[in-house]
Amino acid sequence: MQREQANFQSTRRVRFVKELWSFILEIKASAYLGLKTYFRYPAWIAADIITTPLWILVFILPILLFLPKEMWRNPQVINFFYWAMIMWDIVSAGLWSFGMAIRREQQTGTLEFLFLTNANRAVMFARSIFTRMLTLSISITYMTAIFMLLFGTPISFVNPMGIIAVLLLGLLVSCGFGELYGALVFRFKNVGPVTNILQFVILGISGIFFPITSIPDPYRVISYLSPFTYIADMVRHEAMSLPTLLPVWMEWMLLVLLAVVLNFVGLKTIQWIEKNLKIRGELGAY
Amino acid sequence: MGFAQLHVLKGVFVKQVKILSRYIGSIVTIAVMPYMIGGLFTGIGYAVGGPSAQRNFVANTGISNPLLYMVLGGSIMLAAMIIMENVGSVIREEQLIGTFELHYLTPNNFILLWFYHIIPVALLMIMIFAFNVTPILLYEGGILSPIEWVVASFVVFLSMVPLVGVGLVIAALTVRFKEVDAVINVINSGITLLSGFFYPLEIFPRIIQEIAALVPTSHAVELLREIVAYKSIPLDTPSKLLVLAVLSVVYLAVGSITYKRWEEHAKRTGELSKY
Repeated sequence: MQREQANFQSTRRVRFVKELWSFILEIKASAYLGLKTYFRYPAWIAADIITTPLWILVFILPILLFLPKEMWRNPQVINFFYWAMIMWDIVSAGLWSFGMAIRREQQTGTLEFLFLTNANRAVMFARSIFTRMLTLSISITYMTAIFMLLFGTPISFVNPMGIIAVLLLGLLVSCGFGELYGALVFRFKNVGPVTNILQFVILGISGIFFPITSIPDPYRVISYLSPFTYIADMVRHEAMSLPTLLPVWMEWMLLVLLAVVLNFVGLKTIQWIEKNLKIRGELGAY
Repeated sequence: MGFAQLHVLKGVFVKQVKILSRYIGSIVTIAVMPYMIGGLFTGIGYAVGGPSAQRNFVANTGISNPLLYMVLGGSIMLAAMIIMENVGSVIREEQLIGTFELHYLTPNNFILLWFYHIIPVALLMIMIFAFNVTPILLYEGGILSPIEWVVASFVVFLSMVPLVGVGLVIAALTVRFKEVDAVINVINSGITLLSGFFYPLEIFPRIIQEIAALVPTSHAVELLREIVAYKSIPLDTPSKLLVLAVLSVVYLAVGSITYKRWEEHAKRTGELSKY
């Protein structure tokens, strides 16, 4: 009896290790595909480096017009914008990654082949998250230099380890959000301009370019419902020591919870839609 | 010859209108995009600027309605981007569906042919400009007079002509190197920054302002702002239109030369229909 129990436990351990190893291999394959695709287009990388400062100016100058000229180089204002630009990257990571990856596979006719495998559906389409981690690191270094050069203001990194932790958690939260949105793309195929519109809405309601305390009370409730509100809030707290909306420990917990829940719900939604599309024979239709 | 050209223009016009009307979703997106961009800038501006946001905006721009300022700039920015990309994308599409070479069997002037493709798009952008600006003007309790509308529409159209020259350069690069999205991104960002779609160019140092004077859309935006925001035609309108006309000739000449050089090279090497 004891031997049977020991055998059973040993089999479970072996299976767990095998599943874990498979999961690691899937992540490796997804990251490899993402990075290989990214480095295949060096012209895009060079264009990004050239155009980023220009787009930053195009985006920030109109907002500065609402401030008196003497405030245009105010460190607090410039730091706020700097972290807003980084947050924009986090928001777009979620919105564009999964939806676009699924759509691309649909259009190239390879989606059905991917769904013949038993690979994790979230990892399968998460490939651009890996390149996003790389580009985010490049952006932070690069934009720090650009902001200092353009506005002559140092960028504040009060707690670097805290910033890294929030950004990684933020990417995970964004990833979960992206899975949910990707599931919609998977279901409705051509979402047209929705991704762009949604991006503007999220940037507007999540207090990314301004503190949500400046939003009138009844509308502020919507901001509290956006997961990106808390990422932006925590990033600014760790980088600029600004006060947070909730107690700091509570926001950390909330971010971890959002990362877990959104990814779980997102994965389950993709699986549910996949099952439904298979029943109706619409998996590869686009 | 002139009559034959009208037939070609009609043919291209009908074809382009049919294609454009097939993508209503894209047209709606383009039509509302200036409001999204303008709304975002204005919303953030008010949130950042607080109670004195409006006063600061007037002091920095001389214009009292930030939304009108941003939406107007956004409409022209989108028009410029679309026109520049359109020439290249029309040619690329013809290549992909295998009809590009067939054009070369006709006795057409190809620079004119690609230019005709832009006319329906330019007219659409003028309509979108009117669609964007009118609600704000109505809300303010004013509207442009017919003559102001005619001048404003002509300015929008004339600002698009030199961009066709840029489009021809992009087209030559597209058919040569197939994928030039990265180059388009660089050109778009440079023109957008130097056109002052969302801010007055006076905030830049003198040297940047002088470079910006070479960008046609910078003159168009300035002129349109004066016509639309003050509801009057400025006295220096003829001189500004003349500058736009001269820039149109220069840009179109550079675009045509670049395109023709590629065309000759492609005919010699057999690259014309390679994709």
